Amino acid sequence: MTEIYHEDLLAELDALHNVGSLEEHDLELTETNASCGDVVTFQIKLEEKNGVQLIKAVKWRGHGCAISQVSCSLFSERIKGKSLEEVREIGQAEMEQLLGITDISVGRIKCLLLPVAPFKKTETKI
Amino acid sequence: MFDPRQIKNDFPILQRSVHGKTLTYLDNAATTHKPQAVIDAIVEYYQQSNANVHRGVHTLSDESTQAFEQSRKKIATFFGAWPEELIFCANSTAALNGVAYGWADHHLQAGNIILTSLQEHHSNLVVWQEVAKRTGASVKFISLSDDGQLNLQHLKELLQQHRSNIKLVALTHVSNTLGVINPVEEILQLIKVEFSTEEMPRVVLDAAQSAPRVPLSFSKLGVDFLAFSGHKMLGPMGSGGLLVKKNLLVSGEMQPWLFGGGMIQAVGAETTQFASEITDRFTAGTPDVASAVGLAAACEYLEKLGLANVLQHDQELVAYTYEQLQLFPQITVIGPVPSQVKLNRAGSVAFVYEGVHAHDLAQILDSEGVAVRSGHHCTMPLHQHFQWQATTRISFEVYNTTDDIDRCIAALHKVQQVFGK
Repeated sequence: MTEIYHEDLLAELDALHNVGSLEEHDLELTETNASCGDVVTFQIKLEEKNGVQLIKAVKWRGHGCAISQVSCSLFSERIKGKSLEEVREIGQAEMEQLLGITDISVGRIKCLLLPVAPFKKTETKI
Repeated sequence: MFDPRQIKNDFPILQRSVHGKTLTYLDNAATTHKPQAVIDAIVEYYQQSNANVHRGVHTLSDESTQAFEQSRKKIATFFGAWPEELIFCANSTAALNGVAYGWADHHLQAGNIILTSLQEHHSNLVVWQEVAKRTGASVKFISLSDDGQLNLQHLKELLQQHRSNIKLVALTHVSNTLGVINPVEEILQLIKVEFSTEEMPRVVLDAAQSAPRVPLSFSKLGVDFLAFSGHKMLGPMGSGGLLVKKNLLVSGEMQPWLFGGGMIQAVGAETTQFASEITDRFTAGTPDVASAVGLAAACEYLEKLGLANVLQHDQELVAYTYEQLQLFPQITVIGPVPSQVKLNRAGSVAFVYEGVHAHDLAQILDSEGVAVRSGHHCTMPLHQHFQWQATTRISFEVYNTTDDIDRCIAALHKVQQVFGK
């Protein structure tokens, strides 16, 4: 079980990507995990390319466990250049792959999916 | 004094392993395991006596009714209460909601005050926020000391300042997060000094954490309501109760809050007369007889061990765990330092581990077979107040040994290895 805390994950935890806030943003999305109090806020700047709105810049801030923090970090890298529609397609399997975790326990799925959850709620298809 | 190593043999689940390691279960404040005697009592009830209670004339219904009423008597006696003072509820939350719907909604109004504190489990807080919304009353908080104990001087000031408006005092006996034991007798004394008998606010005690380990006598304690959960005291899930002072039941000050079959005397198309028997009046619908039987068996089990012994064993584990955790410079234990002279904490020891989130810590402990709780333990306002993101809680039962604590401590060293902190 402790395999989930592998070297790469701990290295990412020590050097999280895209933490902070944007000077200008088009979207701000917040998610809280009620079972533990973890919270994350994403700021997104969009840019139109060939008629599609794509994510140009992303920053996030929040606090939580190693899984949720690393998840937010890697997710923020993954979504750059994608449309919101594409981001909404990201599911558990992709996040597990991203973090290099194969057997996450039921209780930790919410930690893993903390960054994904607020994007799922964005209804607007830009 | 009993030997906890022997006690372990009474609990079948403790024989299993987790991730190939011996199960070390230290999440007892969330729920306890059940001894074979409790499991057997439930199985035997379903195998031999299962039938709906009351009003049946056949043998099984008779046996089931007897089993239910004997269980009521056993459980009430365990708490030093009269059998008719016990209202069966699914858990403490349901019991506290019973006080809200059966008492507070009938007696509180705009301007009234419910006194409580940030120590409370959500079950003894959210319910009062909702009562406040419905009745116009407000909730006020007794402040806490830096180590989480109730500030009795502040309580005194609140009682004096809002004297005529305070109608309910709702407090926990033992905090599920801080481990603090509140001095109930002293608190009641402070209230008595300020109020005449007629004006006395009602007092509700959340005994979810104290019932399994602190000898209680409802009749001597002097609180008006006491809520407890069966599953936190070796009984089945879905069992528990609310104890209500007999005079409140007899006078009708406490009203039923669940209506339907079983709780009636006579039903007309337009109106209903409630049952004159108190126990019937507060038992709407088919009760969970098997859970009552199981809870009675749990009470019997604890009585055999002797509650004084149970408390002594608990105190040894609290002191030992507190001491062991002090050896980690990165760990800050929350709640008061265990006192040698005064019973000031029981049941659990929770802490913050600098640099490692409680969930990650608990996950690594789990990989070593050690079950602890991590998160906010249903005390979010308390965590906000002390600015703890999340805490890790080690909590005890009669089957826990110092070896269990040693295994937990060894697993904490693994946390150190993994995170390098």
